[in-house]
Amino acid sequence: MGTSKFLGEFEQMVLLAILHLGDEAYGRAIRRELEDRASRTVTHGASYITLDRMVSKGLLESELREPDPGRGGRARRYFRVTPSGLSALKESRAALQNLWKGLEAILEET
Amino acid sequence: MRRSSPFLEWLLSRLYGRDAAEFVLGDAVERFEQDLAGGKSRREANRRLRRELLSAVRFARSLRQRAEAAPGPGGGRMGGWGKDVRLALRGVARRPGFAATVVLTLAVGIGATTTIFSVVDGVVFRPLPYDDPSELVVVGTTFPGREWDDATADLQHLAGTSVLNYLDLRERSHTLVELSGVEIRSFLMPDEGNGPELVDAAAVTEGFFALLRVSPVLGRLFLPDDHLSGAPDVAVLTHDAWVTRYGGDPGVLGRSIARFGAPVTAVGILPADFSPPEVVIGGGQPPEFWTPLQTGHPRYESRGRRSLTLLARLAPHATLEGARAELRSLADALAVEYPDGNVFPDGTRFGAGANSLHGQTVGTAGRSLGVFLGASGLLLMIAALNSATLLLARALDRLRELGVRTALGASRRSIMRLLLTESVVLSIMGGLVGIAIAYGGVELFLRYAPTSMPRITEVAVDARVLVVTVVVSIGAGMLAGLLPALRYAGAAPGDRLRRGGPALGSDSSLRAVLVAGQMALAVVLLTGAGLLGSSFQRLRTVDPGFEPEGLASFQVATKRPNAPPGERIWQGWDLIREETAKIPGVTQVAVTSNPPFQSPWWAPRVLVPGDPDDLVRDGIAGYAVTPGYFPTTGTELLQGRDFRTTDGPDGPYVVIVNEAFVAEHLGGRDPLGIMVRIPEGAYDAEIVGVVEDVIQGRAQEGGRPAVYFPYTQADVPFAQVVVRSDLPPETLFPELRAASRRFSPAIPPLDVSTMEQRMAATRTTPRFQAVLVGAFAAIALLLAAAGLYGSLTHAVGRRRKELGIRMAVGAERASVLGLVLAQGLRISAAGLVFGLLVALVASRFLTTFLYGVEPSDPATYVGVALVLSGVAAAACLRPALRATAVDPVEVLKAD
Repeated sequence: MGTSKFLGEFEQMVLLAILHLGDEAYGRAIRRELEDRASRTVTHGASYITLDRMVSKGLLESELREPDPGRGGRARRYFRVTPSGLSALKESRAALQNLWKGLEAILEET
Repeated sequence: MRRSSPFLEWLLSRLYGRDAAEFVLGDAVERFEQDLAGGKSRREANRRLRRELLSAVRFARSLRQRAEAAPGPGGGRMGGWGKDVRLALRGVARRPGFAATVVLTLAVGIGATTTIFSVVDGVVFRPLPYDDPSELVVVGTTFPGREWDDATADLQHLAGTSVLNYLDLRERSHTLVELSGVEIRSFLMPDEGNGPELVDAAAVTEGFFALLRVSPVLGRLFLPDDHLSGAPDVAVLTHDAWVTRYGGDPGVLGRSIARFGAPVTAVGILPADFSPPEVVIGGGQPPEFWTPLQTGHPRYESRGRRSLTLLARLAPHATLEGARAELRSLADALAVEYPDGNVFPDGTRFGAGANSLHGQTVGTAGRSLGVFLGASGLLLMIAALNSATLLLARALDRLRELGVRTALGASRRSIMRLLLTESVVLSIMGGLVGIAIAYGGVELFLRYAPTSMPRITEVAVDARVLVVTVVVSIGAGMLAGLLPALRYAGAAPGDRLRRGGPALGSDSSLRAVLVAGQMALAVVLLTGAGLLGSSFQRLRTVDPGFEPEGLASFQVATKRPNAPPGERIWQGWDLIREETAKIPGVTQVAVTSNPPFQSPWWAPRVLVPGDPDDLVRDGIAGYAVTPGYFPTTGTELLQGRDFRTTDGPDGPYVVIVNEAFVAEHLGGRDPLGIMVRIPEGAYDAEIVGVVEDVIQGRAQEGGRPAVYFPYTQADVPFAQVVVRSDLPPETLFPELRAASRRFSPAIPPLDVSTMEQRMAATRTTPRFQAVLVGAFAAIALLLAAAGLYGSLTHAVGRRRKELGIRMAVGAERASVLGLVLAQGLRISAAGLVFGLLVALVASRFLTTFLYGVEPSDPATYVGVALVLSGVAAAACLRPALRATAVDPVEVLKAD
């Protein structure tokens, strides 16, 4: 499938959430981040489908880390934004900013 | 608390694998703990945990679909198949009607093919039931000029060999080892209440059982001393004879068994699974008693008495060709050393030759089976095409599902695999049903197959056959599934999701091709059945050259054990004729050496004036008959006179010939008065009459040259008594048997039958061929018609809207009817034309089985065309009528 130039809205949110979380970006934390910052509730399964797809697109990479005693001794899968994920995010933002240009007045009024 | 949904946990680890399940579960558990810590009730937290896990299960499915869509190197291939099979089985369960139709259609084709393959395997392919069977050869005498029986099958025409020649060949041959011979005999068992009994027996030379690697289950086989002249008479019993005659009593060994002549002592029992090669027994019953042949017996002094069937093994490194070459030169040498019996009076030498035992046993039956195998193969192809049509229609109905799969990331390859798996699953189910059909089919085949079919006892549905069936089933499934798979795996997902649309036109034309293909194959089968059927019909109605109604015959040994000393053989003929003439209801009696519809066994040499002495005129049948034979059988005397009582044993010598003889050997000259030379008797005989041609062995052979001799001038020790009656001839059987017993009390009456039974027996093979191919053709026609019907019905269903609009804008019912009929008939016409062309080529394989019908017989082809058109029209009618019943208002409203 390769890297697509423009990201979907949800993908952008996930990437941003992961960047916010830094080293602590694992499944449950990412979902909480999305819930807290963007008011998006995502089901467990859907979040993994998205994360998995983004890994296969090369936007994210993931690693399993040692079990954490707090959650029944189960391992966590941590995600990190790849350089191409980062550049895709930047391109998307640039594209959006271009589109926004000159419209701020109208949009902020309403 | 983590045990709140152990099933889901288990399911997850199954779906993801242990590692991935870990973190998925971990995240869910973490949330659960947070819920609890955040003050949620345990119940609520549990509910949310379950929902989390359920959504994770869905995630697992999408992961797997992705994995299938792009299989990594060697990744999860088997798992994919397994899943496809599960999916296919689920599909079968969901649409049982559709599945049953496909399964049954394929089962018919697979069942027919398996049945015929079982027979072919048993008769042709399977090795003979002896050790190292490929080394075994049959050796025999060849006649100059007709050395080859069936050149294409690489078979020499082999006759028996004399004992003295056998001994010389055994000593001199280097290419053959263990050469040994069998002479078929019969034991005449004395009357023990049920009348005397003639029991099949055989005498074998030294080493016969060793050649076949047979050892006794009880007692012993023959020792070298048993073969010496004057040795006490001993016998070995087959297991069957031991059980049925002596109740399996081991005490029979050493016991003396009474028979006409001298008693024999039983010394051994053969194993139950021993059966002698069929070429040895020549179509008769397997011998029950086996005795040692004493080569020094005076009766074997003549090299002209060719009574042994010889078997041998090829020496190491020897080939059949090498053995044949060696036998030819050995026979030449023997003819020089011992001309008496090895050379015709005219100087032509007898030869020697060999065939593989397998080739000789199977003979030409292989060709007949080839036709059956071809016919069943055609049926299988029709079944596969029919299933392909069904699967195609089914695939069309599930375009949406396939579209969703593609949208979810399934590749063209995985969709193809899914469709193929489905059809293969169906065809394997069809194969299972087909195997059940084959068990019944083989039973039926064995019940109705002509008894002349070799090795018929070895036919069975066994592991070998089943392996082939499984392969055939999978092949048929692939064939049936390939088209739909290729057709639908390739289309863009959007097309599939939109469903219908532009793909429809090419779909229906693809189905039309498939249906036309079925029609074409059915035409080929119908043509074959038609040709065989009309050939059989002609055989039934051929003019046999006599009046079979009211005729019966039985065989007697005119050289009988209790004959008064000094009685001439022909005097026995007079006695039995007088004895039979006394029976009430018998209006005419005559005696012949050979009745019609029995292969003539006497081939005298006959020379016409002007022939050089060494000329051999081939294929002349000789008959010895009493005066009145022709009026009795109803054979017309065309010229000259019948034999008279005055045509005595001492001449003047006379003969009667038939039309074919005049045409073939006299070049149409006026035959009466011509003197023909009979080198066998060293006399000249005058042709005094000409009769119409009479069928000799089988109607297929037509009228062949024949020469009739007065019974007094040709001493023939066996005779057939022919009687004509106004009563149904079967009613005379008891009286005929009684007459035979009065004539010769020690010999049981033999071969009592009506002429019509005899004629029917010669037609069992053609009838069987016609019936079997006919049955295949009927099934084929039915399948093809069902294919046409189903396809048209489907098409009408899809065109409802168009038809409704046509009718709304004023189309007549008749024109709508015509529209659909025309579509169906176009398909059938294409199939018909193509099928007739193929049949024209394929029917040439039938040439050897046809009598009186050319493979290109126009009447048959016209008949096939009519039948197919009629059936096709019938199959089109209902869908067409349904099309006219479309209510335009309803159709237009439905959108």
